[in-house]
Amino acid sequence: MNTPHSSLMLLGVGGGGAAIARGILRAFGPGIRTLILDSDAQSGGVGDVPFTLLGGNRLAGRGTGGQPASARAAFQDNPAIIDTALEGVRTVVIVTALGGGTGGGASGELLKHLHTLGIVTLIFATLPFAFEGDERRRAAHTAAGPIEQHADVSVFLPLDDLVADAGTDNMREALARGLDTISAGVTLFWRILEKPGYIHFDAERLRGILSANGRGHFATAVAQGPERAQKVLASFAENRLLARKESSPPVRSILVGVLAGDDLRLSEISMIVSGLTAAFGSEADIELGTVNDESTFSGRLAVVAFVFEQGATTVRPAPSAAGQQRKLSEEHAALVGNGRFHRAEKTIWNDEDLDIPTYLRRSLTLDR
Amino acid sequence: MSLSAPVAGLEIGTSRTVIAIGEGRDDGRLEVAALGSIPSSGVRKSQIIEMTQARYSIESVLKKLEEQFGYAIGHACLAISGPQVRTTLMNTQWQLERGFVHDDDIAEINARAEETNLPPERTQLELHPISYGLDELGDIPSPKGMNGNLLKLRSLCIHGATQRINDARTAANAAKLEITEACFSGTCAANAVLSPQDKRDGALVIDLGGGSTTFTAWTDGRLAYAGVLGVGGDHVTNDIHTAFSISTAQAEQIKTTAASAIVMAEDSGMRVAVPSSMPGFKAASISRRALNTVVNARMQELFTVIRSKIDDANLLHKLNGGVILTGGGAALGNVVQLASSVFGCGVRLGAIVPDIQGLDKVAGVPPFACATIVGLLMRAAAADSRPSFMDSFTGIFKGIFRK
Repeated sequence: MNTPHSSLMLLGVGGGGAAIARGILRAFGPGIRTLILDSDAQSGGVGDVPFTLLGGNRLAGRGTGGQPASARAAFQDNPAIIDTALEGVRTVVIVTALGGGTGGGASGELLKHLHTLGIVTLIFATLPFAFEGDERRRAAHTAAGPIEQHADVSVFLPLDDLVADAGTDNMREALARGLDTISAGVTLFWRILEKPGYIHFDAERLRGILSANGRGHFATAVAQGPERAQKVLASFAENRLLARKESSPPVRSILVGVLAGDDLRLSEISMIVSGLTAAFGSEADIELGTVNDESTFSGRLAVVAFVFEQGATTVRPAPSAAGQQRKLSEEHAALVGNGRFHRAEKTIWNDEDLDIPTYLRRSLTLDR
Repeated sequence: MSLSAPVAGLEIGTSRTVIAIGEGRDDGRLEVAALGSIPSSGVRKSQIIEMTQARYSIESVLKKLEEQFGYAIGHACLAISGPQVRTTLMNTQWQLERGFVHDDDIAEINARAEETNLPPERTQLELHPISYGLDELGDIPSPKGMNGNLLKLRSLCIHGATQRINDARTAANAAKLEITEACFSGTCAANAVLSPQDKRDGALVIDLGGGSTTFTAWTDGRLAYAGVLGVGGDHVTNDIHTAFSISTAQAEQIKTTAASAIVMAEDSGMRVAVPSSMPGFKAASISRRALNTVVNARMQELFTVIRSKIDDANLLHKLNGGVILTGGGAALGNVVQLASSVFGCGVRLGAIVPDIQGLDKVAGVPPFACATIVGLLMRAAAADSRPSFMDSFTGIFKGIFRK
């Protein structure tokens, strides 16, 4: 079992998340500190990856039957279940698939718990294909709210956009291709963090970017040949994962990861950075990392584009202990008081005055 | 069915004061013949805090009913809600003289249960038998004919603060409306939307009121748990009002027209128009994501507290019939989806039982929002009706002892 010591951890949540995480491990090779968290004991596989069973007492290792509430309750039963595995971890990258039970139900609670531990989080969450039906799509959207609320940066990847040219009617094949695509993308991203390059971008720099919070958009492109940089930019221009809407918040920063062999040219880096800056606004900060890996990328140019929006996700409790939250609550109570309920009997629950707005007692910051 | 006269129900809610009038139909059903309501004033958390305003609200509804529907009523059943309502589990024992359980013994232990010794500041509203016991045996649904020495009855007593109930009676009396009976609003709402089969399957009815939320859990055909939380739609309005520094009226309008109980991924970057508070002031807008975050936090907390109470009572796994939402708060966007995610079971909006007719002609609001007042009419009709009507409600009122 591979358990490297690193401050950066890959965490696969649920069956879909476990599949994505294993795909990343296969592509990357050893060296990624990984944990799989699932309510289905079968996700533990043959012990190839550290595994934590969620809700052992409540669910008996049989999964949630597609019920997100069961996964949420299971995590709430014992949030500290993963704490031992998190020793020394400062940043967690979560991969999961929404629409089912464990990924959708547990991810929000997991992110909330990680935040209380002071761990910075980035989550890649796939959204179901249209053909999977309205119920799964609705479940995914319901799960997306708490995820965005508690993650430092959340990246939602609609499988329809991820596998725009799936070219198959077979549901199993389409799903597998979707999970493979995200595995490949995150693997490239991981190489940026872990492999040496001319311009090194490490986990601590990532942590700094993620700490600013926001929604992220993520895409990768690979090309080869004499005009490979132009091909990469053309690929990004057509990529629906990076498509902007009029209502989209401004972009605050772009992380560009360039992976190539020994033939990487400065003009190519310049062209890619200029192209992305033009596409997403010159006011955005550019963070660049390169990987020089002749054995893997000989003749090829792979680019990871990670676009961070401003303030799309700032609705989170402060990373504080419960006592500190109670103190905040008391301060707010003094400030806001019971408002229009001051003449009625107080409603107290677990020592909290429920007449005080919940968002104040939870110290939620509102994205205005 | 036939009733001696039209029956009426009065609900002095935090948001609205409502009076409904029911008439018996020849086919044995109860028809909601009239329903009048106006926004309440002088009420917080389902309790009167301004007697004059509460009286005025009742008078206004009575006048409206007379002018619009031609009904002049002098008495009504009263729905009681608010955090002052409490429940107590009662254990009653009866020594058997014959060595087996006779009908007389069951009648006697039920009568003794009704003689609950509550302190004077508390008034019993309802008493619901939960189960019988005989010597060492427990959870016996029907002990008749069984051999034993000591018959036991476990029942759930629902009681309210005497002074608060008297406040409501006083306000009604001042408006020249006599209160014939005070009933718990939670069981009224449940009886209006649950079939006997729902109660046997196990169901939780959550009535989302303006000032408080009542909830009743039913298993094996009987009431197993009842509670009231002093949090309702008013709190959602107040939270929005506080978060965005807009008037309560603006907050109420946004809550009913634009708010969602869940935060959707597509909320980001979207704005919600805030109507101008008065002529000459510009309309503004607020972030949809922030709005729904405020609403979600409140509603998720409300459902989580209820879930916790039901779980503590070891009833969560018995709700095979799911959760049913009633009350005006059930109209909030995506509230069913949120409740479903919190409770982990099927959730639906309450549909009025088929024994009730005519509501659609007089209500002007969704049926689930009228559950309490309809249940109150059913209760009033049951008290007034001849046995034929009672037969049609067997299973609904069976076993409920009225004070």
